[in-house]
Amino acid sequence: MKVLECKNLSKSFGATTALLNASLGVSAGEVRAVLGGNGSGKSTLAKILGGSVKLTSGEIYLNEKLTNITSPSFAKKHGIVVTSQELSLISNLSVEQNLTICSIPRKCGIFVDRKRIHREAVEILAKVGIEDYVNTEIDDLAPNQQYLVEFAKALLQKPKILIIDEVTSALYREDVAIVRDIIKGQKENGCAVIFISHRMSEISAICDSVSVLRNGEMLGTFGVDEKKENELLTLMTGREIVDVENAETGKQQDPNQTPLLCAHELNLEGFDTKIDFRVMKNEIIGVAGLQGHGQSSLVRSLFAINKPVSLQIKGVEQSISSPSVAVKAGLTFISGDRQKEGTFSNRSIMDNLSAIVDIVLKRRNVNKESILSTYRVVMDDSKQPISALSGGNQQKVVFGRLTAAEPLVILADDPTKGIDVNAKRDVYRFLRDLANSGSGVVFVSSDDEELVELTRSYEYSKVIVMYKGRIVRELVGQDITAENIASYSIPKQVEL
Amino acid sequence: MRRNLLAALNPSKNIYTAPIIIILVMFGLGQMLMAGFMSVNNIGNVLTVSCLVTIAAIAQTLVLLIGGDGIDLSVGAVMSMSALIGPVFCGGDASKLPLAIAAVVCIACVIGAINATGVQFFKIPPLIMTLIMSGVVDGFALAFTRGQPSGSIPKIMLNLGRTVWGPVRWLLLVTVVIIVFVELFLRKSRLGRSIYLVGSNRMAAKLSGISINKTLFFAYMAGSSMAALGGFLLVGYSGSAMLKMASSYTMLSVAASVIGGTQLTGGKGTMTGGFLGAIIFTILTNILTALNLPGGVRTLIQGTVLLIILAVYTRGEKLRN
Repeated sequence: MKVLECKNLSKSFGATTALLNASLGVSAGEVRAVLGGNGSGKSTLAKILGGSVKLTSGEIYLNEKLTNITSPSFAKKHGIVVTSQELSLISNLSVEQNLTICSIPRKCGIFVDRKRIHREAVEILAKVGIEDYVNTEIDDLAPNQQYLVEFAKALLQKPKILIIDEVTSALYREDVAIVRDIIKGQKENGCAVIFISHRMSEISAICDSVSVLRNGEMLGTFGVDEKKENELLTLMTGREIVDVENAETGKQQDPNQTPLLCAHELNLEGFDTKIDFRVMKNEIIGVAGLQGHGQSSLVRSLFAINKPVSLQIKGVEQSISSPSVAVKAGLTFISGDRQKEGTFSNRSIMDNLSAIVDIVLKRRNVNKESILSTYRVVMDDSKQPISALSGGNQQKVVFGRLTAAEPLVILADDPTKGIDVNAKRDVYRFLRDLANSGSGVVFVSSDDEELVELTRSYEYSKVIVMYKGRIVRELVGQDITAENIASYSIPKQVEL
Repeated sequence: MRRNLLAALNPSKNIYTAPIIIILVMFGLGQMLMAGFMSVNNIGNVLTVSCLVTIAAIAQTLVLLIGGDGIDLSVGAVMSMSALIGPVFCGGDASKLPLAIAAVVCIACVIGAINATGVQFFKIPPLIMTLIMSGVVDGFALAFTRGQPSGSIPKIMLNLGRTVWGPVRWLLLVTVVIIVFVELFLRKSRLGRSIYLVGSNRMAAKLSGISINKTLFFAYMAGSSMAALGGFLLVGYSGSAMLKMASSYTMLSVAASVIGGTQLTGGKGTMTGGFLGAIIFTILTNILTALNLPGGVRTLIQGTVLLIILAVYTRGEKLRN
């Protein structure tokens, strides 16, 4: 009997379709993997089942009864529990308080049964191996321990259908083993588990079957031994994945010249890794990887956004204490989130353009009108508010702000997010021009195709692939392909 | 030429057109209700009273512009403090006037810096921080003077209310000079322009390399200093000081700023707008007085009008986005 049966689930957010006619059925005691790349709709699926997102169309059957999951509390009542990367913990409460917040045991229906809370909390924490932390505040725990608490909280609710959304990516190898054993225990109790992951090794070790999602469409469900890893990856990315070895290398800058920027043992925020990173003159470095593996942290750490960083700039050791110092040292930063981090929406185009040159760098003789015309910003007048422009044109103005400063290094965090193809092409052109004129460019993108297009069209370029806060691969020349990027973004063994 | 002028006055392009029209309509309305409302003398009165509100509004606008829920509810208290303490420093001697102004502005800077510290480093909401600071400042003024205003006001200060020409009095000239100075500072200087940018989008300003702390401290300190200056002008104009004499100016300053087009979310607003807003609010008060309404009803109507304006303006901002 299927505990859960989804038929033709669709979900669209405005014009974007997150899920399209996805169907999925899970039996009691089955552990099902859901595999998919960035934006394939796997988290949307989890949220629909958990009741936090409403369906656009489709039917969900629980125990073969048509059910309309209206809210998270409805889902919980029917035994559907979702654990996700976005923690649902309250950071200033203790572990014990957090564990019992969703199902507070009561005496005679009114009074909180403190003894039982404590007993149950200790029991469940012992299972995940962190029973010593019952009274610790969530804030004081390490990230992996926080995920374990999140996981324990899900178990405490005695789920009939447990949905695990990428929870293991924050865990250490030992923790993963614990989670694996617990899932096996759940399976024996007849609980159905949906395990959303992109780690092939875990999928083959834990799961019975695997469903593959791509661009919101369900491509099929297979027994875990039925398909090889490469076959699954091919399905997931829509391209032939084969193991590639280095074919031919592109042109590299002389490694002995002084790098424009060099970071030694850089600590990435949110990760406990240390990486070395350098940017040479005229170089474009694409930064690839699945979302949240440290790409964004890398550029943000280099720009000292949240904490000071020590960098060698043109061979000189400098302590960069804030973005203000970074800008004065020749770095600039552009974000893809224009609304929050790019434009000054109620100020004029000219105000937006001159923010760095005029105010921070105090350079007076910069011809700003010519920047607007070389970037072909479509506008009536530079005194117009920037909000009157289209997204792509707004981003061009923000780019103009950076280039007016003639920076040594440009740090770009997914800068083409949500702009149209032509504006994207323009952005690539600007970046190549800047690199040609001697700057270094670090370009983070969640779009692998884009990285290939940008780096393949420029001589001195490479793509680095990040995974869990580490640079796992460097691709140059002919090796830069979307297939290679996808393949190295998902290491086939759990690495530590 | 004429078309250009019309285009420049187009209300959707020129933010001052609507307030100016409102001012003219209100003067006309006042004249209908009470003969002599548009006499040179009364217009002079309205403008002079507006000037004091304008200075308070400038103080308020500097803080509103910085965004992040920035608001300064200690404007009235700082003005009262300055009106009370200022004369103590100069003791009737006009030559000591600059010293007295400097002393009061220094105290105001400390108050502004404490406000900014609470807001920026202790993350106290500006509303709460400045409200409590307002109480502290009142207490300080009381303790400093023991409730007895001492020292007298230099004669030159009493001239502020004197007529220069027609409805123009000295206070108006001083105010116009201050408006022009602050307006130029905000538009031309780096620090002034950073205030607008930080207020418009704090994260974007940070990523552009603008120092948020420096800008925010400056805005709060400049705001308090302006309030202190306003207190000095107030005591000169009215001729004597009292405890808490300017406490109503806190609300007036917010009202004038908002009516003048300053966005409560920051990053947009002008001093000239504050001036026009102050005139509108003063005429409203004047009309209500002309109608012989009792004090309570007057305040009630003023407050209601302000609430309606706030609702309309904040809704307008949302609609525009």
